Amino acid sequence: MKKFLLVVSCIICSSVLLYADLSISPAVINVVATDAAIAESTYKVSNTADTKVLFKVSVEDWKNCSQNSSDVTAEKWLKLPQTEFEIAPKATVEVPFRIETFKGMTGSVSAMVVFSSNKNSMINMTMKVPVYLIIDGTEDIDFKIDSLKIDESKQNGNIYAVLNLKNDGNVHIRHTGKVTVYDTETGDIVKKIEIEETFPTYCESSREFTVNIAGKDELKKGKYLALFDLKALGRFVQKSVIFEVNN
Amino acid sequence: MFKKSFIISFLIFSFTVTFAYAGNIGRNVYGVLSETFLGTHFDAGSGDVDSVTFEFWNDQWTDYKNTMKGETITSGAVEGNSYTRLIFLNPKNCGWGAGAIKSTNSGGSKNMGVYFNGKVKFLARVSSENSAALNCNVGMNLNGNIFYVGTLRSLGLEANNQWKELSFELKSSVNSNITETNLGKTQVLIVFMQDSNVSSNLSFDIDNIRWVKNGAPTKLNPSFFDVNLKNVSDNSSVNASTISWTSGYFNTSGKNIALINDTFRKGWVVADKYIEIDMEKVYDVDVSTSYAASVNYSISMCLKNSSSTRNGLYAVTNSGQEVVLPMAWRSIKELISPTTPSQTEIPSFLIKEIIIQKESRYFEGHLKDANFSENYYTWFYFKDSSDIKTDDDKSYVKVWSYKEGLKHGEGAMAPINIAEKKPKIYLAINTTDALGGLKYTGKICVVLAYE
Repeated sequence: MKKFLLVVSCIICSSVLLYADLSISPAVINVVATDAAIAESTYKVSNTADTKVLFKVSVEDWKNCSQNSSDVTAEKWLKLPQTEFEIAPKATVEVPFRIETFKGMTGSVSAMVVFSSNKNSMINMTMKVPVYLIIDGTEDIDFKIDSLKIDESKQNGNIYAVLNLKNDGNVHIRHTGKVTVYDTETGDIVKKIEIEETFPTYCESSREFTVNIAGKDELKKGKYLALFDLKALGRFVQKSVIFEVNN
Repeated sequence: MFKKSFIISFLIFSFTVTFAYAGNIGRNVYGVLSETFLGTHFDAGSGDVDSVTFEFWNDQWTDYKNTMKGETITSGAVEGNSYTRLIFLNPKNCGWGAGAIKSTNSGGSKNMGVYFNGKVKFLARVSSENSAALNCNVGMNLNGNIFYVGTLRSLGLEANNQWKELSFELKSSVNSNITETNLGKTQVLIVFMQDSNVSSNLSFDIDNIRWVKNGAPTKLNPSFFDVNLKNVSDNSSVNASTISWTSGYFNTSGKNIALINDTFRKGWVVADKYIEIDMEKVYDVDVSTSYAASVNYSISMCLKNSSSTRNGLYAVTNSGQEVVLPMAWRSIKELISPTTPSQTEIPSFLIKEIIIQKESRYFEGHLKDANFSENYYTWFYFKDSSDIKTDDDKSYVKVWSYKEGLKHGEGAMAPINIAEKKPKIYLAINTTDALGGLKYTGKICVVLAYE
């Protein structure tokens, strides 16, 4: 019985078998800066493996709004003085980066810092961590709850609200806030839910968020109003939705 | 170090969501003085519920700046880019001194009731010359009740200049003031108080102070990331540098067909090795009780080859003809019924047929197992890494996303979440156009991207 083995070999071969097991800190960086300024800091990259790791670092554009989309590329404001590193087993290296803003930049720009290493000759592992840069004093903060509805599917018996946040401004927002659930018959507050900071809603875009309003059988039969109060960057928005529980 | 025109903050959200929720609410870990965990906002003003300040005082309530201070040190940080050094200035002459992280919102307190039965954790370090600082008390102010749960020494710290994680439980058995009601009015999230007389200044270091919910995951370093290659046949690990496709390996007839004179078995063939993503190191969110957990990263697959027009495994014949074998992936071995996602109705690892809706550089559409409806897809195509959209939850290159959890299928039953902290990625290639005698190459990318 003849057996044919179709082997996939590497494009990028190396004499060193590279097992990546990297830890990168911090995972997200937010910077607020004036234009024409310079900042320098470092990532800490740790190798938890028992073998040395080679990795490369690069930057790529992430979410820019239209006013910065064409001529403000990541390479122009986010500089990496060194792009190739070797880490000994169980060691940590610092990866320096430099942010240079320049006159005329407005709103916000963002980039991904890409850490890439070869797990082996066929698998490349990449970690992308974002840098968000806001040009101080040029922010246009403009967002609203575009839609708010109750998810009728009731996954696992829970009641979920699905809100669509629309960001018409020029900076990304990470909203926080609260949900207050009222009994529409009595006007009593039956529940308050804190909404923690979470994923960004990027400039000139919308994003959907799901909020668990109540657990299975948590609310009695009746009609309720869920009032959403959200805030980000000092601005507040509000919207409500009415729903019924028919237990 | 940043120049003064910059304000910088470090945010990690991976552990910020209660595992029971599918949405974006709840926080497992509340950072008090942490660059890893979100939480307090220092000196943000009374309108911010998370606003706090670092306040120092002594028993005389006078000239406190001469009795205690805090310094931020950026060199040699164990967590993030800096840590705080608390310095008691000649405590013998000023009585006791204290440094506290105090709520400064409009109500003067923060509702931390959900952390009842949880823990307060922090890193601390004391050098031998400052060993008297081990007597420093650690406590808080809940609902107007100032109390201490122990000293740095009793919490387990030694004067060896080594960082150590200390913790105490937020239980009434630790201190009767720790009740859910009192936690609802937390005025001081943590206080360090030195009341022993010593003849010289004392200092010790603190960092990464956070409140952790009961049952919450507690790992740090969310950006650990690793994958492994394993054999499909027995799940054993392999130290291989390549993934191989063996003709007929999954042929139900048991026949092995050699790739001689273009007679290699045509159609989709599954690799005899799979990729295991070690997500235990990446996330700590227990997804077993929820169809999707809220974590702010995604994991995607991509594929690079030498072709400028086609995606798949690539080879060139001696005459210069390019040959590309389309490639697909999926994250579960067994096929799943679209109506009963919790069951594996067909436990065999057999791909009867996969239909490519349209083939271009990227498959425009998804691939399906032929025995299921058109609304259910288990095989996904690859993209080049430059085309991966982190926040696009519908992308077929996503293995894991905050919204869908682990991706097993598309269509009416998606998202599906099955608790797998080490999801397996199976690969298949279409050998229909394969030519013998060639070495087909491609490089698979596994991308972990934060937002």
